[in-house]
Amino acid sequence: MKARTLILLIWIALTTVAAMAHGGEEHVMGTVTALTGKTITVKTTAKAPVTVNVAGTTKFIRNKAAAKIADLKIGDRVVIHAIEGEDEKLTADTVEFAAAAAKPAHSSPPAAGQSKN
Amino acid sequence: MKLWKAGSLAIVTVLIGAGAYSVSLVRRGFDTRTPPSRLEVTLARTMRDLAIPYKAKQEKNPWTAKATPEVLEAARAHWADHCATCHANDGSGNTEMGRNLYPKAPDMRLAATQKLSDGELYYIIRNGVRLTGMPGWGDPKLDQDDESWQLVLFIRHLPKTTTEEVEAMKALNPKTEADRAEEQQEQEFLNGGEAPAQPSGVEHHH
Repeated sequence: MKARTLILLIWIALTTVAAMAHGGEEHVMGTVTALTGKTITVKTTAKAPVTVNVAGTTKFIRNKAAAKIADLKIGDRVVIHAIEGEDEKLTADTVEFAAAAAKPAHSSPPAAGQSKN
Repeated sequence: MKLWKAGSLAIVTVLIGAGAYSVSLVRRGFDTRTPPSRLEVTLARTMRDLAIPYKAKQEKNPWTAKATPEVLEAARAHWADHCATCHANDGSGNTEMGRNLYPKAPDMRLAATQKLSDGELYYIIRNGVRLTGMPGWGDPKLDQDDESWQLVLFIRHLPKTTTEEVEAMKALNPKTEADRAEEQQEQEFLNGGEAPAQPSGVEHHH
């Protein structure tokens, strides 16, 4: 009886972990190569093309402020947080982007007494 | 005799209905991704409404008259730290936890939540809702709980939440060191920094 209970508990633990492993978000990072009103194609940092669908609920963010899909241009850098549907297609939850011409931010050492946080 | 027949018919009908429901449950399984049926939602919400005492429903939020920007900011921070894991910073419920609960975390910006009275929202925050993922957050030893009342204020604010607010709240969400490191990497990339090495350029996150 104890063995059966143990097996049941192990089975519950394993199935719980398996279920958790499929509910997350995909993070797509790269450069926009194509845009339609409903999709964004990104050349990822690994040089692979990935197309993400845009939904009515997708939020566009530029410089931490609300933006529109019309603001997004080919060549822009994007970080897309997307949800994979049962059809394995990605739908964007948030699309954060910066203009293609953005230069690396120069990080200066913090002044004395200044917190790194 | 007629009464006996009617009673038997009613019992048989209920048994057939229960049998059909059981078969549908078994066929569907007990996963949490299938949305509850309309009947189940109606029954659950009715039961929840009945379970909240009348006196609690009538309670007024003592913080409504004191809702300064500072109070709202404190409530927003509390929400980001305690509630957003399931309900999301904007109250949409669109998080990994919220999407996969049964029932899913509701979109609290919509009428189903917003039409609840302040007292009902406060009662739900303090006592939770059985058979859902909503825990009771209140201390039963306390008569009044200012933080919960302030959260009610923030729930009323949810339909007006801006993207800028939501972005600011991200800094207050509970995160692992790995999450923070990745966020920093993403921001550096957006600012023109080097692309991090990833096998596919697409990363899966829990």
